[in-house]
Amino acid sequence: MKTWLSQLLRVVHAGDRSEAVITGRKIYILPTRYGMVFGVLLLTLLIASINYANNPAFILTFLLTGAFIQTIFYTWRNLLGLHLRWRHADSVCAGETSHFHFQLFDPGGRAHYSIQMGFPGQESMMVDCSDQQYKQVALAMTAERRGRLHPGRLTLESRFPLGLLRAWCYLDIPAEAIIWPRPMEGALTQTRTANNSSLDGDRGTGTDDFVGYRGYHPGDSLAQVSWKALAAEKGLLVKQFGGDRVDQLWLDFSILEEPDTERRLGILTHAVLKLSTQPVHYGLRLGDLEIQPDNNERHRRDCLTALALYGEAE
Amino acid sequence: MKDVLIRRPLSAPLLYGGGLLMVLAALPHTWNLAPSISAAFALFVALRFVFWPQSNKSAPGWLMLLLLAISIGLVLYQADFTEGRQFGVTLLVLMAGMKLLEMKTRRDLYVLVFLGYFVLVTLFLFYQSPALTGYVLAISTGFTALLMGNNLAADKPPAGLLLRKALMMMLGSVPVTILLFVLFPRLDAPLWSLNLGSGAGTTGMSDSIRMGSISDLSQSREVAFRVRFSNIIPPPSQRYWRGMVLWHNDGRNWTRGRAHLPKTTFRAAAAVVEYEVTMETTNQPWLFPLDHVLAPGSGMLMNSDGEMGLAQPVKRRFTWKGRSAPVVEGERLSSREWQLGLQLPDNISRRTQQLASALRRQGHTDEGVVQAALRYFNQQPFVYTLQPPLLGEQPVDQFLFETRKGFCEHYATSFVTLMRLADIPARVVVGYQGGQLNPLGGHLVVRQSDAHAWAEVWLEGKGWSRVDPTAAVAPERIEHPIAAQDYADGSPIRFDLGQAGGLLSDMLSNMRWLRDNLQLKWHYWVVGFNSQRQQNLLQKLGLSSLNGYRLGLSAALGAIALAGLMFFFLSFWPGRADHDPLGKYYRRFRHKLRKGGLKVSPATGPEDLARLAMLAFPKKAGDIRDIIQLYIRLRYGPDTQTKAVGRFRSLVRGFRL
Amino acid sequence: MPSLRDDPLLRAVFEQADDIILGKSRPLRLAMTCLLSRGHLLIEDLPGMGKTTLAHLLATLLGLDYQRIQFTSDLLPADVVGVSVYDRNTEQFHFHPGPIFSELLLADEINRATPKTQSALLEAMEERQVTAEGKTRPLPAAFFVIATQNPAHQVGTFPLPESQLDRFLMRISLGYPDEATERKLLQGQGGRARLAGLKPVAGQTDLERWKEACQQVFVSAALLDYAQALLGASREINETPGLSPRAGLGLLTSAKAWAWLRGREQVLPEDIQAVWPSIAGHRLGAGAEGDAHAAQILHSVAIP
Repeated sequence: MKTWLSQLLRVVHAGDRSEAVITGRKIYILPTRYGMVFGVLLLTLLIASINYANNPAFILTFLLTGAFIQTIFYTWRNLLGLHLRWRHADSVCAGETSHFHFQLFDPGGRAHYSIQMGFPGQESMMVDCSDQQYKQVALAMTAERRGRLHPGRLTLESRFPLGLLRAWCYLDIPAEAIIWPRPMEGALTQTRTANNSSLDGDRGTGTDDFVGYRGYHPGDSLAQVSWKALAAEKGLLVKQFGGDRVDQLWLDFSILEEPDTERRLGILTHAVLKLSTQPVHYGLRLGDLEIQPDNNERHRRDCLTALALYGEAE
Repeated sequence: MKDVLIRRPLSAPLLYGGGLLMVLAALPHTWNLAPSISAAFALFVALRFVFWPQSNKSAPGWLMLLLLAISIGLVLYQADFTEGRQFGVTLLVLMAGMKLLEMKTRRDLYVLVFLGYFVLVTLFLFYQSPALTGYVLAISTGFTALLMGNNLAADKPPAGLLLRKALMMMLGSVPVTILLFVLFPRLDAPLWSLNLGSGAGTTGMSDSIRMGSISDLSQSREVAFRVRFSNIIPPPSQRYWRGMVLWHNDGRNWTRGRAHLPKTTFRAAAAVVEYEVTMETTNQPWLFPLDHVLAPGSGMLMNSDGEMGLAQPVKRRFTWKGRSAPVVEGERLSSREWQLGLQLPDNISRRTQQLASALRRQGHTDEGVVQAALRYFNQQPFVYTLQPPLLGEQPVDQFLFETRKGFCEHYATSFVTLMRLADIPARVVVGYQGGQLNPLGGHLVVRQSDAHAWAEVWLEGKGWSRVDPTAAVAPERIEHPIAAQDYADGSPIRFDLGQAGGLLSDMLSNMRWLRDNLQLKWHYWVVGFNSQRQQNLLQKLGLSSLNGYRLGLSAALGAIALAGLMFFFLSFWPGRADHDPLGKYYRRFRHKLRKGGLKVSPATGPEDLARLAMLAFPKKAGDIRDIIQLYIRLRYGPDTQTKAVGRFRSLVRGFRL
Repeated sequence: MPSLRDDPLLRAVFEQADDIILGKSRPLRLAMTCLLSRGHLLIEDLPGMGKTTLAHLLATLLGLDYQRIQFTSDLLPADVVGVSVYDRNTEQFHFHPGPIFSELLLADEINRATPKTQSALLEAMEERQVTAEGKTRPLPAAFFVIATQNPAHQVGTFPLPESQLDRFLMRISLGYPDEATERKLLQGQGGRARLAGLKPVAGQTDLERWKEACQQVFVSAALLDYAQALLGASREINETPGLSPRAGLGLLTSAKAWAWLRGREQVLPEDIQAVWPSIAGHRLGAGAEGDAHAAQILHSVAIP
């Protein structure tokens, strides 16, 4: 029933480039509470003017009536011709708040004031769009679960200029946010490839060849202290060793201890978030999907997206 | 979804704007309301802005209740329940003041604005002049702008922009207003009546005079009435406007005497003059027709003395049509009138009686006596002055023989006394004489300073004939109005001879005429627009078939049609906020280049644009360079000389490919 | 090539530089802009394009103290920053300052170093000081880093992550010379040999003076509108967060410097457009993708 009703509604659909244009026929308009009070006021003024045969009072009444008629038009026009473009949505972890970023503009350059926009059940935001700007609006939405978040039908409304009428329209935008699983701490069985030697291996601090001394930093392993140097009263020196090695790590869904799928995903998410800040190339094995080890922004995002969309029905 | 703005607290500009507008709206009411009410309103406003100047805090609930109780008390104490206007307006103004004290959210501002509109409309119950109407419209534009600001999210709404938008909205309402005003049906009787009262005070004549009562009036430049003549405009010597006829003299005062017989017509004995009089409020029933009126109009009463009046006092400006003739056929004098016309008081001196006898001997016939009397006034050193010396127990005697300084009433009453002494029935007539023709409007303006007293004597074969002794002493008075200035005791009157006093005074007097004309037109077409006049207008427009319900229907249809037209027209209006003339003309310049075939993207900077354009149109390279250099200087340079924008505009306009 | 300010010293610098590095006037101008804006430069190029020559050239002509670090995978932070060495004679540790203590540092092939070493350099660039063994040693006031990166992605290298790229004000690329220039090069004009005979044209004080003058160039509100429009557009791309406010500031400073070099007293949109690709390219995505985004923005954003 509800869907049938909602099909009856005139809704603005986004064209290509995720851009929706508000045309006249899609705008609904009705008086607000104050508009009705104003109507009563006009009627009262009219009756009083008739009764007292007071012509200047007629003039005021008719002028206000004219203003009311005009405001119907102006309120309607305040929405007309607005272009709304969906840019992107912030990907966040489940439980956090994502923001859907829209761009509001009018290529004709007309100013639109006090436009209120919001998703069903969420806080609405008010914005002005004037001076040929591209107005950026970010609507917040709490993400409950991982996966694709569809915010629902967007409503734009305005009561400008006089607040006596309310004009609104519905927009269906193909907006979605990818919500990552909630990160969880957990045991991570790692598959580490042994010594992937290469010509350009680093001389990182490892266990193989001695490469030199450096000053002792609190926290260094005592096993690496050069006792000989200390005995020779040269101070606390630490031996450094290098190795031809690049760290590579595989995160594998199937080998995790945790039985529950969601928790597994959470653990992996946590791991990805942590590893992306370290000088490690990490890869992901998730069901049929295998992402080669790497370490950059796009890689991080690909892994998290894969985790977010795991198990999505085709 | 819920309105995000409505619960927000008011911003300071909204609060101060609302306060200012409400004070301005209520200001003209101070003259109508009891001082305590005005004081209470002022107190409420002051309280708000002194103690709670921040827009988001307002007076606490207990204070509001207290003030409400005080207000109710004031109203009950002060109000005159019979004066419906005062009562209602008092309540309204106090409510408005309390709302100002109380408001703190944007929702409250709606209530304030609606209250404001009401307060403004009530002003029309008291005043209807064009000036006040303009004032009301201006303040209501302000309220409309305030409503707009209420619906803007910004805390500091751009006042100039909002006022401009509100003004455009009001102007856009003008067509609908004119249409509805012309077509909307008017009722002749009110739907219900509420005793409106119209304030105390009478102006102009009272129905008894004594020496000095008319000279009291002569300082007032207030308009008494205006006349528009349909056919002939009578010369100044025939511009006598008949008010009251006074028969009875008790030695000091002249009064009208007892009951008069109503009369329906007088027969004209000369060319009939048709005219229309617009009278100001006098709160008296007298009308002042041109001497001598022929028949009363509808709703008017006339008596055998030729006095005319209404059943009710004139409470508001009122227009009536009249027909008069300078001379009417004489009738027989009844014996009662004969007696009344010869009545004399007790305080007539011997000297006066002797003078009357001398006049009779000189004149022989009644007419001769009249002439002899007039000669006496003319030849003896009589002075016509606005501030004559006060007279004592035998005023006529003192005036005729001692002071010899007087105003029209002195001459008229003493003349009548002499006539009566000479056995000629005579009576005093008070009214107005003269008037100034408004060169711009073509109507005659008669002021209180034109008030006059003259005499009538009954001559065999002619009936009651007018004799104006003032003419014997100061004939200029008949031709010209009295110059408005202060007169010291006993100084002679100067007459406004209408000579040019230089450019400035001409301009001033033109402006005065203009204003006078405007006021008359305003009254005629707007304030006095009743169903009769509406029918007249519709007839002239050829829409005479519209009456009754058809009128109302056509009003509604017309309004809808206009609304539709307006929507259609406005949908092409870009509604662009034009803050940026420089950008506008630069765009136009680019448009011209584009039309000439140059491909420019909106991301091309001005210098690059200049380079490309100069390559493409080498003949215009100089112009292009000038334009772009100026643009760069104005747009990106440190000085913002707004004057140079004008030069830029003319350069762009003059640029042609 | 756009016009140059009529300052004799400045002209001398550019003339001589142009002589040596043939056909690279634009990258040269950008490098100078970067220097005058007190930012650091990243050059991404295949070997042999002239990166080293450029760095050496600038250092010599401007009288800057020049050092070069060749980054390898076994380079340690201490090799960059400096190390305390125990002197047996005095029985104390002396700090030997690393090559970072210079006025123009060429950090060659920075992507071959480990992240740890990279961060040693990057942090020093950021803070303009070095903390070693508990003591803080400031770097020279005119500290300017030219880092180079080999764009060809090789296994085992650590290309600078995007967050670190932000530390470089500009990224330029020298690229292959055009035919005419290559001809001249092959004929023996230009080249590194002439480097040896170069004398400094300008000095510290001149540089300081120039840097001050750059900041005096006027920025109008209309120009800020354009800059903000570009910045806003950069933040609307799906794949990347866009330019940070720090980058926006850098954009403005560079535009001022560019305008100053051109001899102007106010900044024009063209100046912003000139420096934009170098500033935005490396902040809007890896490699060619970022440059593509930057170019797209430049084409699509209208000048208000």
